[in-house]
Amino acid sequence: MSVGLMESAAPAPAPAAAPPSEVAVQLTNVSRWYGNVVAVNDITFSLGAGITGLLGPNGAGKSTILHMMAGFLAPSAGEVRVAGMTAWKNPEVYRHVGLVPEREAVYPLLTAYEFALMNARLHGIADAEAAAERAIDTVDLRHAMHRRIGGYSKGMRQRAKIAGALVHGPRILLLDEPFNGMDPSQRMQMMVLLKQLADQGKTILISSHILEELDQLANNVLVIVAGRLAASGHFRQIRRLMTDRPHTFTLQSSDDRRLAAALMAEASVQGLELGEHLTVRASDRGSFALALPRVARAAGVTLFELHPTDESLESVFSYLVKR
Amino acid sequence: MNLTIERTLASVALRQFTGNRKALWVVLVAWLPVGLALMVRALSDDTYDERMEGLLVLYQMLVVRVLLPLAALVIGTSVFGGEIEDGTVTYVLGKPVARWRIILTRVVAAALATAAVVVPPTVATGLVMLGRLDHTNVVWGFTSSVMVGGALYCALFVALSLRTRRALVAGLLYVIMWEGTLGGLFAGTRALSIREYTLAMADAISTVRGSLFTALLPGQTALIMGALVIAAIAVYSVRSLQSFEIGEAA
Repeated sequence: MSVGLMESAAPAPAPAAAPPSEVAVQLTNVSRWYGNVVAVNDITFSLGAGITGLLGPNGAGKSTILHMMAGFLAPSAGEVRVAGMTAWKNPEVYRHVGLVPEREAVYPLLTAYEFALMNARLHGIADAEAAAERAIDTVDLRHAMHRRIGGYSKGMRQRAKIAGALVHGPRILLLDEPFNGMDPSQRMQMMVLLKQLADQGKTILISSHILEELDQLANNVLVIVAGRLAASGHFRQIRRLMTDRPHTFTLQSSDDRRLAAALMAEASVQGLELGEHLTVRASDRGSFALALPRVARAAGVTLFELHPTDESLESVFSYLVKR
Repeated sequence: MNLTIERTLASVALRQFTGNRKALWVVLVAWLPVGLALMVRALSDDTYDERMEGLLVLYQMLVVRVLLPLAALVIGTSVFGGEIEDGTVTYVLGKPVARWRIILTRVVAAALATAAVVVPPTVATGLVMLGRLDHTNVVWGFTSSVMVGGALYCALFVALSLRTRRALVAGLLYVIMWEGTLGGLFAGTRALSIREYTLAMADAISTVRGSLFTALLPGQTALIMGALVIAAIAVYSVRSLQSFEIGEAA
């Protein structure tokens, strides 16, 4: 996936050409509207192996995009291809796709094992029982596998859903809010699992509003704002492309006041704040990075710490949504 | 022939139905004619012919007109309706299974469940009223026609549940307005009435005197129209499921 920052009025650029084997999911000029309401507007991107985060405020169009990828919504315009096939009206796509829908409901009368077994059998897996047990073990539900899902906690239901999605070993996983209801240790375990799957070459798309997890997990993000693709790529690279926003750093040095005074003369520094730490807003990240050691040496100040404070996924997301 | 997929699809659908509280009511209400038959036998000294007349009234007015469509409506709309409502339908549709197999399996499951609910009380009502299986094939005729009619109703109600979340209301409108009111006013509407196909089949199998029971639709017409209707419903249902969109049946 290429890195890009899209102007809100401009159409998304065509994705960089990639060999067919690397592109697991391809959306080309895809739009979807409901009557007069445009939910997804002319979106183009492709996904390869690894974990990609799908981000956007509520109502931005994330679920619509996921549903189109999963073949549960027809694009009004454009084309959605998954595993080299058209996703719409093509059940064969599901041989390659595992889907975890956002809606919490799972058959309450089935046990987790029966649910995984049902998924395995519907996929036509020869040894469905063994596949179901493997999937149950993968999500660590063996201790409760013969209890009805209706009596599960929210986090356990999520894991049962993930077991159902993994049972046929799909190369593409579409996960809509997979961490919902999981406790911190379950989240950590799920993140380890997803990283392992990504390392095996699987393509994983995670729609989540929990940016903290995606921050640690996703190699790339797709940011959807008002139905449009606002940015795509690694969030730190996206941040660097946002030249209209000053970069903020906190500094700790042997003499913050003297360093602040010296930095004021630098063209790349837009603003300074002296508090517990020295906070610097720089217009150009590269120029500031070159100027800082020079200025500190000239002022006779020793630098102890330097932290970018707005390069987190959360701050990048927040900037993009406000654009 | 490996029917694992069909068995899995059917068992999930039947679990949906049996876990539904409405199912208990349908099963209980289906035994109403048996209760009425027991009351008739306990409170009167009717002759065999009078009891036959009473049985035909129970079959026509209660079993075919009310209980059969009611059971098929509740069961037929629940095999997809519940899953569409709570979103679990994605676990069935998100599989590499041809849509016609899903439809066929679900309709057959619904038809078998409807038969399981309606057939035992139909047979029991006949046995209670007549005291034995009759030589005029009334019990056999109505039992088999109720099974076939139940399958037709289920196919229709499954198709409705794929198009609207108000399938229960739409199905009731069909039964009450189309088959009931319009069917009584305009003879032409009977050609598209599952109730009339059911009665025509019962009439064709039984050999009871015409003055006691004659269906409004000739057996041949019912057979041809029934076949055409089921073919149309099948095509419609498969197409509906092929282009089914999440949140569509709102």
